[in-house]
Amino acid sequence: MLRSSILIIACVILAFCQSKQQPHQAAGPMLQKVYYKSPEEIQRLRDAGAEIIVQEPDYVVIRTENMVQRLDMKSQPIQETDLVQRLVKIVLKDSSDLQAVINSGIDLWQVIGDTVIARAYDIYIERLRQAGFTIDIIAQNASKMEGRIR
Amino acid sequence: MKSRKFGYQLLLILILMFLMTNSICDNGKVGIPTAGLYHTYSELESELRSLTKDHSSIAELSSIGRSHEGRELWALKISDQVELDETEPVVVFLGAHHAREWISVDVPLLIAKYLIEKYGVDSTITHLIDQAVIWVIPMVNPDGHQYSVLMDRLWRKNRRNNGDGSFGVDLNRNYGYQWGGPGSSGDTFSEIYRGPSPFSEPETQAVRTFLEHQSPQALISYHSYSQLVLYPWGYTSQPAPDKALLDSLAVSLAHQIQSVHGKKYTPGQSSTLYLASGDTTDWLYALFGVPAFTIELRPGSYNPGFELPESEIQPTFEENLPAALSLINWAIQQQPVVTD
Repeated sequence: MLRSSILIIACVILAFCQSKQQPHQAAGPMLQKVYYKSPEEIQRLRDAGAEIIVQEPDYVVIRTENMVQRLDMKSQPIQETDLVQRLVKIVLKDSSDLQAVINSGIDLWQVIGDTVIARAYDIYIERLRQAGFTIDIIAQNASKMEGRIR
Repeated sequence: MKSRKFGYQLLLILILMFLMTNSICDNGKVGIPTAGLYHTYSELESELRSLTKDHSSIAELSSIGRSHEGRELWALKISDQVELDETEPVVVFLGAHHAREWISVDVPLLIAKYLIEKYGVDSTITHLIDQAVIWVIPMVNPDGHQYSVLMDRLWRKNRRNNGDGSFGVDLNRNYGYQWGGPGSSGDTFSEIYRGPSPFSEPETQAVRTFLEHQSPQALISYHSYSQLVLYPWGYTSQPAPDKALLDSLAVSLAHQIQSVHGKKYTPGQSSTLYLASGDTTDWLYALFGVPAFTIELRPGSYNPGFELPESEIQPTFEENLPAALSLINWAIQQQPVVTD
């Protein structure tokens, strides 16, 4: 009796934890952490059509199904902490540019005159730079600025 | 006898494992979350229970739904006949759509506490509670808030598992009016990810059902930061049909805020600076045509930004109290006078 109760409790615990980890829906290709050793490997990814969401010194985050296997590179599913955002200062050419900056998907923190303070992934920084914006990186990892901004 | 003893020991170990894994499943950390003087989810829950227990004749606690991770979305009703569905005007105060905006939990909570504790003591407050039904939902996004407390102070979204390795939907881009427009993103990893469809999230679904049922006369959704009083529209720079009324109310709210500690909150149409779609106030205004405001609380700038010092909780509440009271009073004034 006691043993079966214990078994039931154990099953409930496992089911409870499992239910908390279930994705609610698939959102297309997975975000993958891909390790690289040289800039040439990043270029190979780009040439294969990958958009680099985050580029850290030893890995990039891309959205892919099987590109990495084809390129024979080492990869694994991302951890949330792999999605590093930069703290950036974006200079607006004029006030009408602000909407384009917002629509890029950045995490806006403040607008001071012609300057935007935001958190941004590398993919957004690159797109905005291509659109002609001047962007300075204030901190490589905005989350690590916590408590130290002031 | 020996096997029974062993069984009990095993049961105890399993219970301990459950407590630990529950904490791990939730947050990846074991222990009781703390946010200093700011309220965590469990502290908020205790405070709300205590308030309603001590003032059960005018305060009632209920859940309007559950979050992705199963947390109750607590709503506190304050009214003189709290157990009845009255025809009095309804005013709603919301907090913490965005996880990292901790001050947006404490301001509506302190407003609720003030109202409850001053009933029967202060004639103005007594009048407001006698004539209106006030609802306070201090934490619309409890999962994100918990994650912000324990794991990532700057976390903004809820905790939907997007299924691609990323987490979270921006709840204030997930409401159904003009969903998917400018100022929101379809990228799952973006901080302004709008979700896969309008009202895809249990948190926004719960708020929608609640507000549709309550049909409020006015609403304030608290956020931080920037010190602004914003009104619809946010999705377009076109003026709302009631722009004059919304603007005069926003100016009045901002004026009352400034009169307390001198802090300037700038009133204006939400889209003045930039467009953003799918937010609470646009949806509510589109549905009922009633004043709905986003108040961006202290501080005024990104330094200290979301990490407002605890010493500013009380003054931020104090300066926002008269504005909240005046909006309740305004809602009462809009009621038609019934004569025989």
